[in-house]
Amino acid sequence: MHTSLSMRDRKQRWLTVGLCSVTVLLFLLSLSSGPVYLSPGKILALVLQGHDEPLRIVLFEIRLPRAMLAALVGATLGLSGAALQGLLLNPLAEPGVIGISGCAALGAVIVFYSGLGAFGIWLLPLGGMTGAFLAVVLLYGLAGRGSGTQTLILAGIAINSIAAALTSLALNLAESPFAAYDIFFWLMGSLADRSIEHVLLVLPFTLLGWVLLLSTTASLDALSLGEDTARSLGVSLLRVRRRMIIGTALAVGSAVSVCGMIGFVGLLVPHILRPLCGHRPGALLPVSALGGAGLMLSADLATRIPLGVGELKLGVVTALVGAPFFIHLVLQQRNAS
Amino acid sequence: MKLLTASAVSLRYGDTSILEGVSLDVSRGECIGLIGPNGAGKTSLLRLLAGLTLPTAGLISLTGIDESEGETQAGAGRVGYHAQSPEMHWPLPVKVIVALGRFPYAGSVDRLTPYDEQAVLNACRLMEIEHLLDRRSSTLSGGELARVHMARLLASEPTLILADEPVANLDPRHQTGILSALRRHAELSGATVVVLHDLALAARFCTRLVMMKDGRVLADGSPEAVLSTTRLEACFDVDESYRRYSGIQAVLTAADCHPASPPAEEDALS
Repeated sequence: MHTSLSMRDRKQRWLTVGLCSVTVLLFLLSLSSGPVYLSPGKILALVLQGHDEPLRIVLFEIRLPRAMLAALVGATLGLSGAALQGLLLNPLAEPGVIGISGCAALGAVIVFYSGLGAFGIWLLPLGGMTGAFLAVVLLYGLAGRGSGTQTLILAGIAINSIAAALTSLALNLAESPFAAYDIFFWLMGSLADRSIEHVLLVLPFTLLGWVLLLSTTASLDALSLGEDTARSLGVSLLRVRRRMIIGTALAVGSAVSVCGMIGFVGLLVPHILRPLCGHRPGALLPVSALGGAGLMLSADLATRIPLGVGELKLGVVTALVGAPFFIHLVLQQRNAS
Repeated sequence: MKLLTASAVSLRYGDTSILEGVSLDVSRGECIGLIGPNGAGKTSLLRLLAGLTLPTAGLISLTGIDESEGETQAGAGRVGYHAQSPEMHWPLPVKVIVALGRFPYAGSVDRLTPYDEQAVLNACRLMEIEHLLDRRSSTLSGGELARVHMARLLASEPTLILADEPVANLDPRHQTGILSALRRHAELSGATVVVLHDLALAARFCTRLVMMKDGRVLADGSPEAVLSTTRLEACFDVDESYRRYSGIQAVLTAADCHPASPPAEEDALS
């Protein structure tokens, strides 16, 4: 008798294919939507021949960088949320909730205000990554792994409060009120007015972070059985933790320093996709990256809905969608207990 | 042939001494039962043997077990460890849990060779969980879950099995099923060290018993020799009024009459 032992069921293959197609579609939609509508045929024509100069600028210098950043940052947030949840064995771990995004923003703000930014634009993501790195290390020291949800959330509140207080202090000390105004809007999270330079700035760090995070998938599966059992199976916890901390710092730190704080994506996406991956924390990682990219592209499209009051901030849109979802999670936990 | 030797091993956390100069060797073919009251240090000793904690003093060597290379745990796969009340953090499908037993060889449950799959299926057959392969762990009963974890352990095809109370909360039929599997493993493929609270089961399935109390080994030898009335009285604090009973009966009767006294042997009553 031969029983099929395939660990990934067919459902999951379709999930990957489906998410890929949806993300590509949303990417194309993001290229065509805006004050000037560009049809797919028009986009193709613009790519092939560059006669219509103003429209080329719209496509290549405004919409393409924006869509690319949305996909990159969304994938980073989905991926790092799923990875942190697998490592900390807690479904509420997410870069925003546990303070990593806040510390990354603080790092970027410090670089901006100390005048270090004048030495090179790449110092901004460096500041973001340093902040994110310190936050993950601090969180790990405070909450440990597999500690209860309560400890994790408390640690997150503490880290978020420190980051928020220090960021406010930096805004207080700002020499010009306009700079403070800029920072305030940047903190709310946005993809507007980003150029291809921004994409190139975050791309190397983001890709390196992704590789590090994705290299832990098999170990995360084993970690579902608890740390002792995972270690007895040959998982090197030290190596998994190191990759996770550095990977999160690189990807989230650089993303936040370019796009500001965008919350809830890392919470929402893994939670929806987890049952579709047989609850395997490792298998959840790549699909969460795809789902995150898709969600971020949709949220960015929503910000372009003309409301007559200027553009909505991306962080505001994800929070408006994410916060009710968070409340839903709370109710679910309350009913379960 | 000796598989594992622990010589004069001690474990301390600050001022608290958990284990004091424990020596133990495990030879091929042995099914060793670790017995003793709660807090005797059985679990700590097993974790030391599994390489999960380092001893404060003393030495543990895995002889006759090839040590795997690289950064992984020494002997991963060759030494199988079953934790006391195994953790389950996500409701994984049963087949994934059992397949994780092949992690030391395959590196991932997505890359199982036909041999790996066969080992997984054999373990499932032995533990009678073939019909549960696609179920999620959160939908299983306590007994089913215990068998799933045991199948995970057996799927690793370890040489040495270290199992911490694998039959707690199981009905008699499945207690017998798991313990005979552990005994058979010792006879055919290596050795077993198992922590047990049920003295009758320990006497029935183990070839050798190690009796522990307060971090020390009180007795080490054949079940008949270790489970003598005097030793049991010393180990489980049975007072003189139970002298008319002998052996295990004295321990059980004493526990019966003092339900509030050390919550030692509630398992033995079931």
